[in-house]
Amino acid sequence: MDRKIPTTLWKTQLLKLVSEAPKAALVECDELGYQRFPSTSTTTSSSGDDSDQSIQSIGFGIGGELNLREREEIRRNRHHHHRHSLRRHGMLEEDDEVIVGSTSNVCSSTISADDLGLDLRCLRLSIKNPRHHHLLESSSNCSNSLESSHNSHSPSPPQPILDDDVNNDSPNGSLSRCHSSRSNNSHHHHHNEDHDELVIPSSSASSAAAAASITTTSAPPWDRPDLYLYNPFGSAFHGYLSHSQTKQRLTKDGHYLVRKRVTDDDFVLSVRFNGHIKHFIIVFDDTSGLIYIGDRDKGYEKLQDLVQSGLITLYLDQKAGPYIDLMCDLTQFNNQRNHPTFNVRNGSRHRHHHQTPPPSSHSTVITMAVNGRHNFKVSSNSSTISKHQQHSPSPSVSSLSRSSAERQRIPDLRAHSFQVHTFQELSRCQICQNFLWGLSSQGLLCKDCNLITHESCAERVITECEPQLCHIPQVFGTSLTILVKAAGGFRPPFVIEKCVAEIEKRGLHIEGIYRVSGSREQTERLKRYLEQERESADMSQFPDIHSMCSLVKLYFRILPQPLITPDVFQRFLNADELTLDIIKRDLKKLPAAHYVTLKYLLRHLHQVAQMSDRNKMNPFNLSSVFAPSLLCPSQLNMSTLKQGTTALELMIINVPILFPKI
Amino acid sequence: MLANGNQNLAAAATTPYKIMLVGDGMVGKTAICKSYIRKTPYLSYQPTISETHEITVSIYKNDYVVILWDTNAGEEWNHLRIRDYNNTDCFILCYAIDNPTSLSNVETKWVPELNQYCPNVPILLVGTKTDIRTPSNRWISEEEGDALKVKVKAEAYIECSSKSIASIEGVLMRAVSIAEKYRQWKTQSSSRRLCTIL
Repeated sequence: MDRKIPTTLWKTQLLKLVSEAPKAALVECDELGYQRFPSTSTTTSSSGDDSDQSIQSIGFGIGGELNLREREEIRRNRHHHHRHSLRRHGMLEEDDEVIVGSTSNVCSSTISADDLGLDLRCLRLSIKNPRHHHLLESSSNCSNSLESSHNSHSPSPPQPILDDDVNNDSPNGSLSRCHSSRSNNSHHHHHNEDHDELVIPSSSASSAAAAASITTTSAPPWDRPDLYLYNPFGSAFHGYLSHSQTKQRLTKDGHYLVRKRVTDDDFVLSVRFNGHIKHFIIVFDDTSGLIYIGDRDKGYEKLQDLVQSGLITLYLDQKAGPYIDLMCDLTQFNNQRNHPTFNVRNGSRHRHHHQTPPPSSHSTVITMAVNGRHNFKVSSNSSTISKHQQHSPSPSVSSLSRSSAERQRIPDLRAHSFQVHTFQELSRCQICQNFLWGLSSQGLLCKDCNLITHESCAERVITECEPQLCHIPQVFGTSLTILVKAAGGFRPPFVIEKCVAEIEKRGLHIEGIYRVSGSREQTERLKRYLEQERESADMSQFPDIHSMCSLVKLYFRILPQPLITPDVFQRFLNADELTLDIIKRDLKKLPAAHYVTLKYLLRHLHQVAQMSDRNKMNPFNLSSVFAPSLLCPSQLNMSTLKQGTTALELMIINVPILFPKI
Repeated sequence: MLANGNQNLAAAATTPYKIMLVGDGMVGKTAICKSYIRKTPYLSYQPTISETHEITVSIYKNDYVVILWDTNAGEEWNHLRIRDYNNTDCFILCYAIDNPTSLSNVETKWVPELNQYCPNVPILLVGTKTDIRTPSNRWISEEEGDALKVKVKAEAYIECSSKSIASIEGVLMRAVSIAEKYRQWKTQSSSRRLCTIL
């Protein structure tokens, strides 16, 4: 069997297919009644009257804004909670029923209960009626917003809602039509005088609303998400639709809409592809603002992108499916497809978006340990570092003696720093050799060594993250982590190693070592030389040892993150009394690369301090010279500096206890 | 005119002069301070973070109150030191005559820094540790110091050793007189500016 993958041949063809895929086209909801509720919805009303029942089931649609938790709660529990929350805020009485048109757009900012109170006051247009629940259009809101949306940025005009006739499919273009259609069924709408003012054509609605005691000038509720019919999908959302209704609306390949099923509360994305309608449950994540398909990991900012990406996947699957299957079969690791979207077969990884906020593409760092094939952990929190108890050192490093504390740190430094990345062109996963599908956030890129993989393949990465020193554009000012990784993970950056070795060779006995300023010019020259020659630099040709010391201090000073990171320093500052135990404990919180480098530096300084009878640099002198270079400048003032110096002095004195040699 | 001058003097007497000691590490800035205050040679080896001393300097029986700022030299202290620079009346810029690097840093580091943050403030260039000079080894000579003074446009060049209290007093008296002159110049130039506006 020919195991060669004809990848180059296929790349152009695949690209062609990508361009041929049907274009996603949104079928916008143009109906006023898009927020209608299914007639099968259960109600609390025991009334036999159909229309009354439907009103009951409409419950409260309030254009105000609750916090996310409340909103979620309301979404789950429907109108019972609505009414409850309204009453809780003292805005409604027992028999009041308020139905308010609301926006189709969701803004995700949260507003406190005080603001909510204002909003509700704004909506307090309710009418008490002993017999009928009165339907109240917040027509004032609608008219205002219609105007404002013409003038300003408001993306789509809010739609007045709630025709009580559920089965009325005709698009209601204006409030007056709304009004007339209601008038047709108005046998159960008994308007008293107040109400007549309210259900009126939009042109005069605002004055009417003013008459109905709108007492506040706070932001209008139609700019706010609708509590009840939570709709993050804007005009793509068609409300409750059945399959057959959906089919009627999607007339061409690529058309899509969002609807709700009668049976549950999920949003369903319906897409027409190849003459068939496909349905997918989609989830909108409030915190990240991303849209997810089912339980997939990949979020999209725009629905359009999601659908387009999915259509391409479907199209490729249809046209080049056998080829992709072949490719997947032939690759060593990946025998499942890596289609990011719409792939029903790929369900191996599961994440509950409701419970854990999914990673946003900008902040997520997936730290991956790579010491064993099966030893992996993906963390979606950028601040956590995956630590591994079990670790089999590779032969190249096993010769080095390490403390057990270090042993746990190793995975971090051999691990890739993957970040979700959007590749501009069709790229290949370096693990399974397959393409990275999709239009955005196709895969992961290690920001240290530029390894490209699928998210699913990242678990199979067995190579260690070893950025090549020659590929790092600049040594000074580059993050310690990258340089320590480049040095193999157990050694400090070569700049420090070289300078310290030379200083230990020549300078330990020199009076005022590290204190005497080196010549600025020499220091600059040495820096340029090291930047140029990198690891092959020969330090012996630089006679001025003080410049070398200045360079060491300079190196630490211009690190993007200080050697003793701000959070660890803050711990030192917070400690009532700095003891060795506290220092030892807090140092473990340092990033591994910082820990390795600090250990190296402190051991060196300890050696310098042991010669203090000749070089006069005792631990106190050394620490006060080094403190401003190792600590975060923004945290420094005269008092914190004293603490920092004390901590550093303690560290230099107690190097053998802090970093025992095994 | 005369009354005006007296007023200025009186005003000057109320606000102490702010004199700042700058220069490379280990050239003896703290030694100048401490020796002057204790009137005995100061021989400690601790790096200074930042200290201020209020001292009185008398010139021709006039007493001048001076706040002497002792700074740390290292580049790593730049951001802390520069905060203290404003409203300085005179800088005492030191180098050690046994340390050629400190001499070259006067030109490459200190003078540019002072000119950047405190333009126009006068600089008194001081060569320290003259006690190590022997007839056979002059180290950095007075001539070199004078040449540097001209080059960096310092007000004056003077040498001292903290082992000789008299030389230290000489440095501070010189610094005070320079500061006094600078204050006068400042008030004059500001009043002149006022006139031209009128």
